[in-house]
Amino acid sequence: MTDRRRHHPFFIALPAALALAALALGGCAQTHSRIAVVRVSELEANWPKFQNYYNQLQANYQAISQSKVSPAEKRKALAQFQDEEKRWNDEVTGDVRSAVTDIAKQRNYQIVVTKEGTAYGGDDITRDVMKALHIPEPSPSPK
Amino acid sequence: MHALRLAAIAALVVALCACSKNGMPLGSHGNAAGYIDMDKVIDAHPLHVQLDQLQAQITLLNGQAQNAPVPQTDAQRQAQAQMEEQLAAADQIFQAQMMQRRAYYGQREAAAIAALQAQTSGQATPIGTQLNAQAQKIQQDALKAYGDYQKQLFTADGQHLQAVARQLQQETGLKIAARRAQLEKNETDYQIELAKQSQTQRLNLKTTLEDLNLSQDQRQQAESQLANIETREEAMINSLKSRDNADLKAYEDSLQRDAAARYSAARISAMNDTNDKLKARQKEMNDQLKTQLAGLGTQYQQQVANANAQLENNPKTRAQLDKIHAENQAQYTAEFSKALATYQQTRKQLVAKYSAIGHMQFIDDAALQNEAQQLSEQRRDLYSKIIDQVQAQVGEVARERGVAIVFTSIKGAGHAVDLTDQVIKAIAALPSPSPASSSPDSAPAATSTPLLEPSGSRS
Repeated sequence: MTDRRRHHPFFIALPAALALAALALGGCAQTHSRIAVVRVSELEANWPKFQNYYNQLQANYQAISQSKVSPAEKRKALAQFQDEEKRWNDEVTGDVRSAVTDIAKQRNYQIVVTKEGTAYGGDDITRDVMKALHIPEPSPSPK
Repeated sequence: MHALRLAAIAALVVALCACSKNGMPLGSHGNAAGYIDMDKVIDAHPLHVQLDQLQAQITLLNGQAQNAPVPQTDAQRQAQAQMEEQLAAADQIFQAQMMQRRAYYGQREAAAIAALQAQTSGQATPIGTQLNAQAQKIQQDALKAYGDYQKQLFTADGQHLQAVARQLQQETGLKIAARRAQLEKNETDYQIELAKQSQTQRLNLKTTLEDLNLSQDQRQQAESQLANIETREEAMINSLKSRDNADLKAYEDSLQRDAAARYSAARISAMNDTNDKLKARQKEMNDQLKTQLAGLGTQYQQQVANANAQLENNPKTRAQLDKIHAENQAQYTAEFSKALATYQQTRKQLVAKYSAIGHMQFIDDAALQNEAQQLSEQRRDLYSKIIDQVQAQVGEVARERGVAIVFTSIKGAGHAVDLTDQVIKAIAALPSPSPASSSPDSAPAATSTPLLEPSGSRS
C-alpha cells in the first residue's frame, strides 16, 4: 500500500506542530469540546515560507552531497545543515502550532489533528490556518 | 518525517480516549474515537483485484523496458541507432504538426470570436482582424525562417557526412592497398627463397637431362624429380597466398567495421549538433514571437475590452462563444486523435522494420513508458475511488457507532474502537463495481489532448 505512505521529500514537516497544539488544549474541562482537522499537505504546498525553506534546504543538501571536499569537511557541513534544518523546522512548526492553538481556543476545539491520519471526523480548519499564516489561497483548477 | 507524523497521531488518540471515558462529547455525532486498519480495508475492497492487476501490468511494462534485448552485432547496433533516429524524427514531425494545428484552430477560434464581437458591437470589420493578419504574418515568417534554417542545416549535415564517408573510404582503400603490396612482396621473396633453395638440385637435374646417353628410365626419373620440385614449390607458394588472402580479408573487414563505427559516430555527432542548433533556434524564435505577439496582444486587448463588457452580460452571445469554443475544441480533438493513431502506428512500423533489419526484437521505450504512465494514472484514479468509497463507509459506520473521529494510523489503540471489520463488511455489501468503469483490460486511454486556446484574448 505504497499509495498511502507519503514518502515526503521535504526536509521540513509540519504535523508535529499539530500534535502539540492538541495536547495544549487536551484538558477535558471544556463544555463545547469538538474536533478539528488540518490538511498539512495543503499548507506545505501553498505556503511560500515553507517552500522557500524547503527549496533552500534541498539546494544546500545537493551542494554538500556533490562537493568534492574531504569527508571530515563534508561531515561538518552536514552537521551545520542539520542544525539549520532543525531551526527552520522548529520555526515553521511553531508558526503552525501558534495559529492552530489560537483558532482552537477561539472556537473551543478540544483537539486538532492532521487530516492525513484520519478517515473520518473533525471540522476542517485548514483554510482558517492558511488565513492566519497569510498563506495565499490556491488558484482554482481550470475546467 | 513519517515517524514524526505517526507519533503525533498516537499521542492524540490517547488524549482523546481520556476525554471519552469521562463522557465528554467530542463531536456532533458521538463521543468515542475509532480506528481502522486502512491496508486491511483496501485489501478487502472488491476493486482491489483490479488495483493489483494494474500494478502487475505496470511492473510487466517496466520489466520489459528494463530487460530490453541488447544489440550484439554491429549491424544490430546500427539498426537500433537508425531506428532511434527515425523515431525521434517521427516525434518531431508529430509535435510540429500538432503545434501547427493548435495554432490553426486557435486562430480560427479567435477570428470567429472577433467576428462575433464585431457583430455585437455593430462594427463593420471584426475586432482585431488587422492585428490577427499581422500576427499570422509574423508567425508564418518565423516558421519559414525556421524551415529554411532547418533545410540549410540538413544540407550541411548531408555534405559533411558525404565528405566523411569519402575520407573513410579513401583511408580504408589506402590501408588495404598497402597491406596487399606488403603481402605480395612477402610472397615474391618467399618464391625467390624457395627457388634459391632448390637451385642446385634443379641445375643438376637439368644437366643430367642434357646428357644424350641417358636411358629412357633415367630420363623419366630426372624429369619426374624436376616436376616434383616445381609442384612442391607451387604448393608452398599457393598455401602462403591463401593465408595472405585470408589475412587481407580479415584486415579489410576490420577496417570496414572501424570505418562504419567512425561514420556512425560522425552521424550521431552531426545529428546531435543539428538538434541542439534547432532547439536553440526554436527557443530564439519563440522568444521573438512572444515579444512581438505580446505587443500586438496588448493592442488587441484594448480593442476588445469594450466589446467584452457587452458580451459578458449577454447570455445569448455567451452561449455562442461557448459553442464556437466547443466546436473548435471538438474538431481539434478529433484531428489530434487521428494524428496520434497514425503516429503510434508509424512508431510500431519503424520498430518492426528495424527489428527485421537487425534480426532482433527492438523495444519502443517511449511507447512502453507512455503505456505504463497511462496505467499508473488509471491505477491512481482507481485508488482514489477506493479511498473515497472507504471514507464514505467509515463515515457511515462511525455515525452508527457514535464515533466522533476515526484514525487510520495509530501506534497504540487504548480504548479506541476498532472499526476495521465493520467497515470491511460495509464495503463488501456495496453493489458490484462496474467493470467498464475502471477495468485494467480496457484499452489504454489515448494521450490526453491539449486544451485549445484561441490566439489572442477571448472575452
